[in-house]
Amino acid sequence: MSLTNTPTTPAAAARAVSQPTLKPRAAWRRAFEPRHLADTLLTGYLPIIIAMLIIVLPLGWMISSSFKPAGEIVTLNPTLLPQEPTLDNYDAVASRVPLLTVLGNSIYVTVIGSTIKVLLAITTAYALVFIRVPGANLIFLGILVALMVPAEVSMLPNYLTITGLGGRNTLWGIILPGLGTAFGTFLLRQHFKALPKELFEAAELDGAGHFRKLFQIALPVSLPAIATVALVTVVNEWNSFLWPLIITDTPDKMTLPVGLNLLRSIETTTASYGILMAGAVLVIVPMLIVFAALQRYIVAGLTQGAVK
Amino acid sequence: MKKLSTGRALRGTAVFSLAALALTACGPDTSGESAEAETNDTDWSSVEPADSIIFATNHPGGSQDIENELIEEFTDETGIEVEVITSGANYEETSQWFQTGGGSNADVIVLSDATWFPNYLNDALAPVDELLEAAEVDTSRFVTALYDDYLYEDAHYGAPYARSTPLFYYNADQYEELGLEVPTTWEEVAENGRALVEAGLTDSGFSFPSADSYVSWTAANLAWAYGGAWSEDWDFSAIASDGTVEALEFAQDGVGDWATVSSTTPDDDFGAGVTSQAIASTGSLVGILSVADFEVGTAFLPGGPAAEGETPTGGAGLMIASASSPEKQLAAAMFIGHMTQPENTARFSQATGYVPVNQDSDMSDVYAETPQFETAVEQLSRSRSQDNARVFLPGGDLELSQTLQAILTGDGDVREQLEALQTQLEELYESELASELD
Repeated sequence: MSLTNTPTTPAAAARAVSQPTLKPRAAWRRAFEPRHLADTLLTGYLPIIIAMLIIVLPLGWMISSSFKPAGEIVTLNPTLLPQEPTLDNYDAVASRVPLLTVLGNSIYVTVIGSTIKVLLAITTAYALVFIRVPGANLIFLGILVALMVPAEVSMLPNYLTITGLGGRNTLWGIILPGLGTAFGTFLLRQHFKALPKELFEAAELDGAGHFRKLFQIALPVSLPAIATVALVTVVNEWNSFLWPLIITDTPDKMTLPVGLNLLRSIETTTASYGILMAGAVLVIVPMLIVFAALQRYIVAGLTQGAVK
Repeated sequence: MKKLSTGRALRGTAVFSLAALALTACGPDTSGESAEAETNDTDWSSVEPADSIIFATNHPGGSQDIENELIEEFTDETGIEVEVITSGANYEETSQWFQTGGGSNADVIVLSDATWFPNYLNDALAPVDELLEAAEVDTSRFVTALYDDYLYEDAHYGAPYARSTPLFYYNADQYEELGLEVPTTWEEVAENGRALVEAGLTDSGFSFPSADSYVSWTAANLAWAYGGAWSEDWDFSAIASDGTVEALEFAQDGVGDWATVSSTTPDDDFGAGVTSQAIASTGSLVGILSVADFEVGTAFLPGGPAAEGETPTGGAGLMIASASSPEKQLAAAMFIGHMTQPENTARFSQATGYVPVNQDSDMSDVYAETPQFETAVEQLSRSRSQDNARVFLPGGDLELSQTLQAILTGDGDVREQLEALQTQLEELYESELASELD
């Protein structure tokens, strides 16, 4: 068996042949011809620009404000860029929060938690689709129900359980309750179900067992879906606030979002918006880097391999 | 003697209420005899202070740096180590934290005038009178009105710490431009507001707070000025009395004329120059001065037909956990003594904008640097303890704040809304407190 980039079925091959595709440069030229220009701008660029502004302006304002002195934020005449840029806000964050500690905690919780979550999601989804498990549909129904239950509902039993196990103010206490991910399992199960059966039949003929089928066939052709699950999981773990807040109360075990909550203080908000913005930048920038690293997988084609 | 008085409750936070639902079992030990009985049985002369304590604080007024300085000095002087735990970002979070699992080890806790009483009802607080005496703390030098905010049934349950009152702020540059006098009554506030708006110097002559910016704290002054109140002891009929109705009709009529309701906080509006007059905490003074690009004026709160400008007390105190051992409690009392020394109180005030809680504090350096601060300290002579409906009734502040916001932002009948509020407060009292106080 060899994996190539040819279409997976005769029907798909026929479609690929019958649809003439424009080269990128030709398509670009066509979009900007006078008769197509209005359509291109109204249905293409305008919505994108509006969406971009809605997303980017607050981000830009946040980053800009993190370099502004207080008087440039609380003012009747705000400017987009700081008039007298300062790093004082970042200094204040570093002095008020044990930054390296909470950053380290966040990285630890995110890396360990996300890795286990994604692995569990992959293996569970694979088992539900490719292994004959008695009551698989019931198990899947249970997963769907778990998706519908708000996380807050389980916080109290989780708190009592983790505290009983001695997990209060520990990093494993933060990680443990969220390891089973209904979302990731659901998404990957749906994705695995859509994979061409021929791939796996061919592998079986070659004598491949489940582990080989999972790691040499299912995973390579599912990278975009797995990257999506990984990204969502990483972002959720990194931004998780309520559970770490409840289960920790000492700064040496706090994650970054909870640690930065220490920047909020009664009766000093007027002068501390810049400090809060600097804290928010520190939370968001690592996620932007992760997204930049994973986005090419997410936008890649969904089936990257096929049967010869 | 029963004295029920306390300060400002700050807006509730959702994050800890969830954990609080059923976790009181994990909290400080509140079983058995009351804290008062336990503490009064101790012969303090034979107790040696512990060599370490835990201090739970939300660093009110951004006080983290000055707190750390004072704590280091305390450890150098006494050898007692102080572990600082940040127990939340505000007073509600700290109180919830103390009542749930986290608080079981805390020895000294920062609790606001509006959050200490529920903890007292849980028997979680030790009376401090004998403790402070044993630690040789001269409580007679505390500002009496502030210390007595923690007095209940002849015992004090805390010492004043990060204390504040509301203060009247005005744009002194604009006042000078129009030749306006500093107002002493609410009518004069309205006249000045109208003059400022008509002169085109501002779109807002005064900024009222919204529900989540302590409106029930600052507006108490308005109700008192017209002879009203949120309650008188546990009698809630005062909320719908003629005085309260008149005061809030005056405010409702003013919104859209000479006043606005802040979409953020009056502190922000005033500091940014959006409004020309505001009432905000003394604890906001440092922040306002750091952002305002105009001369900031401060004055006593305005009065009215029934009273000169009375100011509600507010802020937080230092409490000692009843669950702590006598050794820890004595060390905690020594720590409170250190934090409330005249010199340390002056330094804390300078760093945060809170009023000095010790009468012997030399504030001359602070006044020289920030003359507006003198107004806040002088105004303490006109302080009045807050009404029970706001500070002792669980959920009372929330109901009050929401109704006040509805009155200020709408044009509904004020008396009807206040009568409905009276009913709600009475129901809250019956369901939440009546049995506890019997």
